Amino acid sequence: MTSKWNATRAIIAALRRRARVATLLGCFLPATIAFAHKVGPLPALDFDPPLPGSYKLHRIMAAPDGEVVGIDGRAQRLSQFTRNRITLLSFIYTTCIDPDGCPLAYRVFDALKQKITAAPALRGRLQFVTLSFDPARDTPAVMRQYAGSRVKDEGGGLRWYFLTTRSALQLMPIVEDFGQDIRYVIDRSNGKPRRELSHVLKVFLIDDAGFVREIYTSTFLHPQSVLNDIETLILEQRDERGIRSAGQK
Amino acid sequence: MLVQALSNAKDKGGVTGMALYNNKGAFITSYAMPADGGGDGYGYDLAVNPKKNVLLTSSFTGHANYMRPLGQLIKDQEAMTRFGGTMVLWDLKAMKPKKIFSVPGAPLEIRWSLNSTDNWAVAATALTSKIWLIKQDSKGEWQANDVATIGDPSKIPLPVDISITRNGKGLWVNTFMDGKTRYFDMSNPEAPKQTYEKVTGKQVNMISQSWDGKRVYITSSLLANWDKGGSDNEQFLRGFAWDGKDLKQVFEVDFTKEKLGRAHHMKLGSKSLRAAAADRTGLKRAALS
Repeated sequence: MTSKWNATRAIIAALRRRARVATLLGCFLPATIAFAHKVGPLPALDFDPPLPGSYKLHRIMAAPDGEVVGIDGRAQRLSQFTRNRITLLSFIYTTCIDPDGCPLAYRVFDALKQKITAAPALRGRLQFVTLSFDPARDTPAVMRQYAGSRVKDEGGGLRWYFLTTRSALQLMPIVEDFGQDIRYVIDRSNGKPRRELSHVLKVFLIDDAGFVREIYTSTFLHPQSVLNDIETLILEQRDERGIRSAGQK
Repeated sequence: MLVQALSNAKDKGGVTGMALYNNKGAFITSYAMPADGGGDGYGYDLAVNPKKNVLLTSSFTGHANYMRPLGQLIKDQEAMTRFGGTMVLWDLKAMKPKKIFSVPGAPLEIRWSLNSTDNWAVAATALTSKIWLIKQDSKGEWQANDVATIGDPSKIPLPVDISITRNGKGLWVNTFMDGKTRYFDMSNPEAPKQTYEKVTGKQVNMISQSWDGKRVYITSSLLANWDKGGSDNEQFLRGFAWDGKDLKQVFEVDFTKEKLGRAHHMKLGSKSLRAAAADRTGLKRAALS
């Protein structure tokens, strides 16, 4: 426990130093947002995922809560974005360049958005949350730029929220409760040392009651397996409504 | 976290299951090992291959057997029939058995090749002294086949732990009874060839290796009631250097002398090495302390 708390304090200290550098530079860092507009299809799954409804997604844990900030700069509770609809939540940072990291999550979300928008049965039932774990760099304005046109509901009833936090102190309890690990690394690939964030990509599927039902790593993060899970949850909701209705008769 | 059990509290036999916990340690659900359709309900090891959506499990024996002194157990013919003889291939996502293989002789440790293009795993059977290969055939169907013999099975060398090299080309196998550490060339996993052996202790069990394969670590204890007696009951952790030709002992922790009990499981920290090996973007890792 002591070593874990020391590691957390070190991350908070590093994030604070990052924030002070941003202030010294006049709160302006070079515009290096990594837009995940990679061309080419997503790699195919190397297996046939099980059919929706043929398996159970257990309640893993209650989705953690905390204070976050939207692209409009208003502080809100994270739980406002993880209840009442099935939610897909991804932690990112906008300058991530690892193609199997944040950009992959973005591409998968984009692909899912297209499929969901085209599926009447899924309209109005889902929401996406993209939450930054780099508050020093990913301000509401930066997140707004990162989001682009994705924040608009294009008629498919899919809401996509881009969130950040005001500080590392607000961020870390959320990150730790979700079990999302992050570390600082030094990038020397361009000759000049540069601090970057390192993390294992995790995307969380949260049911409409606010329980985490699946945690995807890059291997399982594929539109097909995610859609199957979403449909599995919807079938479960339908079955529960049927049981309740039968019980009332 | 998926935890494999060995036995059950009802009859202390080998029929058992797995338990699933979240990362905070809260219990989520359990899965019974299949006891029909060819299954014996027994468990031992579990090994995932997420890329293929596959979980493999193996089968040992129950509390009633593994808590008996080995010398007594071996003489009890009826008890000796109560050892596992199956491996189960599961759909990892759905956590449902897909195929049950007959693998006689108590298959124990399972290791997947870590090469991204490989589609196979190996296990060694304790009582029949074989290496089994679980691999997709040309039609993509998973098959299990006996591909090599370890030592002289008639002498029951008792293969226990195995350790696969990072590139999937080599496999260390420890045999408990004769204290040997053996190296198999796995260049062709369908025809492994033993290329080296050395007695590394009076009794040996677990074996682990560094990510680069240059350091090999061995411990001594199998089970409290199965470990040898008298002067053969060495309890140790020994570290060896491996240059591809010979194991040279570099250090030893004498667990008997240090009053540490029985030396069994090892976990090697390798965060920095794995991170460096997986890095494709030129990032250098700096661990926070």
